[in-house]
Amino acid sequence: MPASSSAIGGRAEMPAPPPIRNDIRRLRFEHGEMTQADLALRIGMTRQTVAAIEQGKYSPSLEAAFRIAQVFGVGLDAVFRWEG
Amino acid sequence: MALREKSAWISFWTTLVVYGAYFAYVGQAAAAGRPVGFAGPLTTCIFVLVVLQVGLQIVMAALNREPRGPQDERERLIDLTASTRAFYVLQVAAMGAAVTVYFFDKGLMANAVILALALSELVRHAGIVLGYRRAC
Repeated sequence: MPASSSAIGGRAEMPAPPPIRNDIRRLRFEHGEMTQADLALRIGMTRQTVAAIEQGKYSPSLEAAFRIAQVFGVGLDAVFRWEG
Repeated sequence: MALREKSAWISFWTTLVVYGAYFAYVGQAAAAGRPVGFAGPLTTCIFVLVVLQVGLQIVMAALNREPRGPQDERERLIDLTASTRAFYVLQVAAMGAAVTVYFFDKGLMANAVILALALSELVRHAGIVLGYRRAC
């Protein structure tokens, strides 16, 4: 019997997902030392949300992630990494 | 501190202080066996709460230096999470208030319903503050 089928719904044994890392801080400095407030303004978010994303405390929606990548003119994988 | 976090702090403390004073009055009246006046004290409580909250929110907005805009996705998530928690509290507290009909008069039952609403509001504001403190 597979190990996952012994748990209810197969969810109990799932490990916690690894964190999503990002290079927003580096990209900001490479783009004219852009401030968090500038980036926030360009992607329609608050400065606090940009800070939370940078610190890995909040994972943005896919749409917001694409908007951030668009601001830096790079692909999504150049901004975010899922270390799974 | 984000503008909406400050706003949640104001709502939390004003709700706690005003409803705290109101329910202290109701508790004393009930303990002394006096009829619990409902309309007058509650009207005063709501009036004071509205005046305090509106006044403080206006002052805070006037002193705010950060740009204001619509809620972003993280703020909406914080709001929704806090509202969901508050709803659970409201459900349990409302059931508790409904049970009071077997033990107390309708004035106290009405106050128990108000207490349920006040508790859920406190949990909602506290949840918003917590959400901002934890970044989400």
